Amino acid sequence: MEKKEAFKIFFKLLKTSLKNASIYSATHPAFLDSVKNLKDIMDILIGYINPLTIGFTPNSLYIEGNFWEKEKIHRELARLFHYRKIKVLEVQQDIPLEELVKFISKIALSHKDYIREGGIDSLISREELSHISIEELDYSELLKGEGEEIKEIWTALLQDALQQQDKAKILEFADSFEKNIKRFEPEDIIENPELREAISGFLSYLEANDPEKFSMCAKDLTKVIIGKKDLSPDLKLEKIRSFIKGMKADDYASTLWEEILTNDDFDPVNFNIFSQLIEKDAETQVASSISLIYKENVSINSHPQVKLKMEELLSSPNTNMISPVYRNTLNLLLRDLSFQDKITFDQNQLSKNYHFILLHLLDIETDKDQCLLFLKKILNEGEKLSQQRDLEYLRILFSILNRKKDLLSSEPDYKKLINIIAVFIEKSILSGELSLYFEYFITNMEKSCLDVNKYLDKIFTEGHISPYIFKAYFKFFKDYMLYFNINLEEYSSDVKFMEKFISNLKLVDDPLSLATLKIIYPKGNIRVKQLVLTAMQNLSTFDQDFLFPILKIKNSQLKAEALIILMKDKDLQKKALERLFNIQSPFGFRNKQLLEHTRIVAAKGLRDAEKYLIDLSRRKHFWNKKLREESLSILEKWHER
Amino acid sequence: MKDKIKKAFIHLLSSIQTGKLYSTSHPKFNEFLEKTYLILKDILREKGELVIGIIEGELAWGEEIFFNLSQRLRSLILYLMDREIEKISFLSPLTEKELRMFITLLLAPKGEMPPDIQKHLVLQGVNNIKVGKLKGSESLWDKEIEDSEALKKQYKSSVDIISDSITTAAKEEEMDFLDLRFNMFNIMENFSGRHQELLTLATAKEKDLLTYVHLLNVAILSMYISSKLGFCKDDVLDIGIASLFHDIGKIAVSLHIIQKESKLNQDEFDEMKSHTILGAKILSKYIDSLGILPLVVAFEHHLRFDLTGYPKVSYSQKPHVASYITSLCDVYDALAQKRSYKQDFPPSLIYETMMKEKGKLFDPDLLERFFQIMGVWPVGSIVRLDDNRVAVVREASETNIYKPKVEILSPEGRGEIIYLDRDVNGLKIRRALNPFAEGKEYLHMI
Repeated sequence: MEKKEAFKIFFKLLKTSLKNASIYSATHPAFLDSVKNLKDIMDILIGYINPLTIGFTPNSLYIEGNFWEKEKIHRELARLFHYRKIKVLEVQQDIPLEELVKFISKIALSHKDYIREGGIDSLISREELSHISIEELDYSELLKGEGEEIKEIWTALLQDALQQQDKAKILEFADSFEKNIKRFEPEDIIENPELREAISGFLSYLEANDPEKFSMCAKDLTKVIIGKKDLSPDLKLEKIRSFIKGMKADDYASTLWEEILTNDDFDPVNFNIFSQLIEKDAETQVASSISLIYKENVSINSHPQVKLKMEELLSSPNTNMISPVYRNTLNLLLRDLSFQDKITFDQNQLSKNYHFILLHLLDIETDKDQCLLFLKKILNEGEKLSQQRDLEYLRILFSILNRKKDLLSSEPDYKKLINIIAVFIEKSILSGELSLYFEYFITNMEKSCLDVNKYLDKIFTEGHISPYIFKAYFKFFKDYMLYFNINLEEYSSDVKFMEKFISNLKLVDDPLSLATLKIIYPKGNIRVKQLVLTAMQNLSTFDQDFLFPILKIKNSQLKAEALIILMKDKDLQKKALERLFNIQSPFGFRNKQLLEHTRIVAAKGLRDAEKYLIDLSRRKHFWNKKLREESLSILEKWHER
Repeated sequence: MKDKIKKAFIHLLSSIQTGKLYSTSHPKFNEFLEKTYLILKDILREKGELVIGIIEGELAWGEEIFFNLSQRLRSLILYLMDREIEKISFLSPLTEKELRMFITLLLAPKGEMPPDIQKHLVLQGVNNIKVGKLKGSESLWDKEIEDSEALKKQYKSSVDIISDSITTAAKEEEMDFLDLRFNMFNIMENFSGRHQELLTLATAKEKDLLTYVHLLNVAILSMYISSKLGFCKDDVLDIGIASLFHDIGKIAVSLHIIQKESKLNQDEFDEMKSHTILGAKILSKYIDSLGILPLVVAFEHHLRFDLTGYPKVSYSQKPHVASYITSLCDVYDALAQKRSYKQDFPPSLIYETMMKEKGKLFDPDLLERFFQIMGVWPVGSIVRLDDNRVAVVREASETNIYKPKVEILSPEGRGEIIYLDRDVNGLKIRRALNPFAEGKEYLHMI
């Protein structure tokens, strides 16, 4: 038989023997048969490898420099020996069957019984297994293990270490405690008396012998308990409380703080478990320690995430589950965090306040030299003022400067400052910016500091159109309307431009707006003409000589818009309506025109035309029937309303 | 030669100032260091050795005492004396590296200076600079002098320095801003967090200095609070300087109004209120050297959080945080001084009085934070606990402003430290003992 084949059979028979050992007694023929078969194959293998030496890692078998780990049976066997703390097994030639039976039947014991019997060392010496030798796995290696098995043997191993009062082993448990305790559910720890006692003994040992490790392990245990949200309400947490009562307030506090910082799921439910775990009397001290921990590392702890986490905790619907002492502390810390956000040495605010103070000092100062000193300081801040774009500030400054005109206007700095403000404001206006403050400046500025062409370029070349640009132009350049109109004529066929132009112009209630609209009208198409007339409706003045001729044209839309403007004036209203309705229409020859006018006043709701409609509604003769009916219908509608 | 020595020390002071205020990598520092080195090298080429001593606070070279120069270099002299340096010898061949190491060593805060400066220099390979005490001199800074006495002298010097600065500003004379900033830095290092102790340092006898004492205290307190609020070093110094000058306008107000103890009539009160504007006007002349903050604080420190107060302004502009801090510290120190000079005004009463102004005179958040930092019983307060023992407050507790860390003074358990906020027996402070009356006997213990 080939060596490889022999090993395959060996693994199979080893597994069978171990299985039978766990099912049958050591004298059962089935078990004995399987061990005999095992011995036979071992004898063959020893022919290849003498002594037969097998190493065990948590997941593989190690034989003659090769790892056997691919098949399930390799891993199963490896784990079984690994968790029985066997690192290397060595079997000598001619091992008697009885010796192998004893060995297999002991290895097959449950973890608990195996350890209770003293593990492999005592087994070998007690049973005088002279053909078998073992290299035992050390604790740290074992405790690093993964999987459910470690959970099964951990308690037994811990009990064993405690029983022996083996400091080195116990410290190895301490080093791997965090990893291993996480494998257990809080219910296991509380309800399983063996596990509970083992942990209790372990922590008592550490508390007495190594306070630092005690603190570390007690914190780990606390985290496991408070990390579980769905703890049964019947669970007796006080059983755990006694284990960790030796923890200092700082330890409790740092445990809690670490959970708040690192556990994304930590919420008031977890907090509540924590509160239950800690003695009520210790709460104040723990809360105080939390604050200290926070303060010791403010830069890290004031991270926005921490703030967010604390806000979540305190705004959760379950917040009342957090004890008032902690809640209060967290609130204080949170306020601290918020406060840190708020309290800043704001350089912008500083310079803003400085600027306003200079204004105040200038305003109340009567001495010319002092005024000039403050003017100079304000001038020095010119750049910052422009950056801040504080129009309210500039408005106040401008008004103060106006008040000080008699005292200071001859001074170069005064002129310079006025100029800076004017240029800033005009440039803002020319950029198309909108602000109600511009109204103030345009009204109160005496002249423009910019060239007329700058305005014309902005309006007509760059298309920066706003009511304030028109207002400023009309105020500062009324003598330059000619150039304005020349430019305007060039754009009169650009409907889009004209729409924008007119819609802004109508917001400037100035005679020059009217004049401009009158210039646009003849050049524009029907759409533009209509816009012009609509825009004129917004203005407080109008030109009847311009409007009456429109009542004569055929376009009823334009006629309607012109009529609306004329209706603003009582006298002109009468004149306009008479022009529309006092039309002779023998045999109804001009009824079509009358009907058109009737519809205009109806559409525009011009009730002042009622009298004329009544007249039309009373006209006799069949050719006036339609006129009568429509007029009556309009009148009825008006009266209904 | 005398002129060269003078120049050398002026440059040395500038090097220390720039190094302290900025850093040793700052170009200005390097510039002054190089100037100092070149002139020292020149002197040493001629003399081989230069020994400068400080005798009774004056700079001396050989038989010569530089009175005028000492006046100008007072901050350097105090700085060196504070570090127990009374004699500096520069030997040839001095290297620039040695000078740099020496100055860098001097930049350390007092508490971080090595105990044996000379030994430290030798270990660093600085062989051509020797420092020490003058033989046989009866220095004011002898180790035998009690610490409290030393603190008192330091404080007195600081009061002198700031009174000089304020007088300079009031007279609209030129001000050495770097020197002022350097002094404020040293004041911050020496007195930060010791407000309560400072209250006992100026006595009623020095009434003429009261205004300056108050200004210095407000500056110290403002710097302490600002640094606790997390402001950077430069901002803290700026706030300190601004606080120092916040009441400079009072100098222009009639003395009889300032010192009047009875109630002011309306005209007098109006004149008193004008000190904010007068102060801003005075400080407007120092914008280039002091910056704008002192002007802003002088103008705003009586503007209240609820936007009332004075001066009346036609626009609503929220005062700057530095003005709020100064305002808080101003009121706090005034109330604390009241206890010292007029009547028993215990810290708890100061707390209650100020809390009544929460949201009115003071920004509520800032006020809360202020007492979180200071505690109701500030550090240095002598207190009686409810177990009848007398203790001194050593550290405020930010979680419970009523329960600081205390050190027992009497009658038993002296030296025992108790964190009242964590004390399981619920030990509390019953009341404060006035350091000028019943608490006086314990002053020497703290």
